[in-house]
Amino acid sequence: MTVYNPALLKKEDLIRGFVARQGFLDRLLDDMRREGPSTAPQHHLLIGQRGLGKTTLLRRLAYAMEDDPALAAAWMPLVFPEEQYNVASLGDFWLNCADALSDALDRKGDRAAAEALDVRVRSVPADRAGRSAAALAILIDEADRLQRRLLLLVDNLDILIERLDPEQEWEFRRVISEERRLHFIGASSRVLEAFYEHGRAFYDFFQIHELKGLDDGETFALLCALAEQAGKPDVGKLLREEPGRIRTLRLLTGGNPRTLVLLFKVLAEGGDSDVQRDVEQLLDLYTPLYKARFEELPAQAQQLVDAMAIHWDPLTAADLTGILRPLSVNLVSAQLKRLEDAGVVEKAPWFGEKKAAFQIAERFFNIWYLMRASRRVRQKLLWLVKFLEAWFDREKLGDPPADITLAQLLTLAGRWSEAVPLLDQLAAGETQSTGLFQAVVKTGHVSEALAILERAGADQRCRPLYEALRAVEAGSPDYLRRVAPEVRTVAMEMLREIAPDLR
Amino acid sequence: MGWPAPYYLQLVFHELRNVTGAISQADVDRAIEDLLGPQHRNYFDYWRQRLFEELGLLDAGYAIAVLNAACHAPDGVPRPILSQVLAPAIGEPGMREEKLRYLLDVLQNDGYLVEENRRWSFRSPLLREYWLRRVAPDGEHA
Repeated sequence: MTVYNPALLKKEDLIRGFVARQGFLDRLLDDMRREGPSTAPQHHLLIGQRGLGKTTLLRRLAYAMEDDPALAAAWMPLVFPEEQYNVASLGDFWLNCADALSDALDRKGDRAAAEALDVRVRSVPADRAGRSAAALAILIDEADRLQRRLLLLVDNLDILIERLDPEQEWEFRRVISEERRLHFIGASSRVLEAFYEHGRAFYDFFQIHELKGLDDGETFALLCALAEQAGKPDVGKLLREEPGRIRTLRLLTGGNPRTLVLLFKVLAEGGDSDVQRDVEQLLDLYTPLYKARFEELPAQAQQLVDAMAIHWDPLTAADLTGILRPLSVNLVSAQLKRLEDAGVVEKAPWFGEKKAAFQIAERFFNIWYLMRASRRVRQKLLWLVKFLEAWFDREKLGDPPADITLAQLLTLAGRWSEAVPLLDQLAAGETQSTGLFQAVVKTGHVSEALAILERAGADQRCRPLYEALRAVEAGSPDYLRRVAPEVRTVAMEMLREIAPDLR
Repeated sequence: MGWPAPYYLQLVFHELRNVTGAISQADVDRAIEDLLGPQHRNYFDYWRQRLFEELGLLDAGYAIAVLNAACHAPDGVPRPILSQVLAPAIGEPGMREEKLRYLLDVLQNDGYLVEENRRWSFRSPLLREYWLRRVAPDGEHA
């Protein structure tokens, strides 16, 4: 099973494994069916982090168009290598299109046409203007000869755009706006100013689709489909019987389809283990990639990423400087900017002050880093894993134990001092009772409850609950912006239960 | 003037009161231009200030980024572009979507923006012109 390089997958394997974004694919195909030679073309841009399925989607779209007789008669989809590092000018890009077209003809068995195209490509002049015009003319002539429009499915459009100067950007826009024989669907892992800044060539030019991680329902559907295809009924059974385990893993992986495919491998090989083991094995599969990516960073950037990943929660440049002393705030800010540009770090809203906070952009990398850190740091993550699984499976637990009910009743009856010893006991375990803490909030004992949780170490062991109570104390759900997204999601769910009126 | 905000209509009429004879289009244009001049800045500054009062510093910064994007486009901006405008400040797509939904609700309810044909534009062309001249060029960005 290829995970990192969809280009290496056989057509039938890619089609079989394509489950998660079927609805979106159908919408794109409908759009393509509506594209007539006389209608204004609507070009598309897919934006999403690595692993969210952009490359697979572009390839799946090409296959779907080839397999649909009406679309295949009207269109010739062209796929490209994931990165076009050879592009220095627009002419180079048109030449890559000609190369992709030659590949497509060759694949269809029309070797003579492919060779004729290659011969024409070799005659393209070297000078920039001549090169662009000649390469484009080859493409257009070939589209005319084939009596089909060319659909350019361009991955990593950000790399391409950054290699064009503004004049070439406008020329690119002009060609794909006016030339009805070319149609464009691009993908980018980064948001570029060129796409949203007024006055830039590609402002309001593409229909933008931002790909997000899969939600719980989509995750179950993907894993079920993979289990069925691979003939692994044990995984199907596990999905039905242990939804909490799967929801925990979805939350930690951010619903990233690539990671979920790897998760399926883990579940298929060791379905009888537990969620902690699943996480460990999944992270192990990512180790070569993440290690290489981390080691590519300069030493000082590594220091910053290390501090941010270990801190886990978002933090401001000033807080980060405090951790990285004696580095100056200016130096830290400059490094943060570089890491942000490289997509390693992202900004996040902060609570309480007009400051931006920063966090590691790829959340599963942060999880990986935590697991490789010291025992105490790792323990924080393992506590969360355990907490999440219990939270997602709470319906299985039935009625709360008697001491929780008693503590809740005592609190509501105004007998707080009698409830405290019970709370002390509960905090030593892994309490999640939202009913009890709703009573605590109602009767105004939040600060005391927080102190009890801290005393028992439950501020780390039951962190989502602790942070939900901190949000009550701060008087706003926005307080949870200060907390790592993996903790925040469940803390927010708990907050809605313990303080439903807090807005 | 687009949206007939009574207060601004009144100000335009006030500017036109000294015109003798029939009022021409040029007189109206001149009156509007005068209204947008730096001497009358405070007629409109309220729209910017109240963002800070209602939304707080951080969210007002995001709202201004959205309005800055909208003021450049008389025919409106599609929502996905507004989301991209906020992307440098809010990386997580889910959190950004939630924030954008909230901001657009506020900006629509408070009369800044309207949505038409899935594009967001200033409700009042006069306010858009003010925003373009006085806020967007050196305005705060998210």
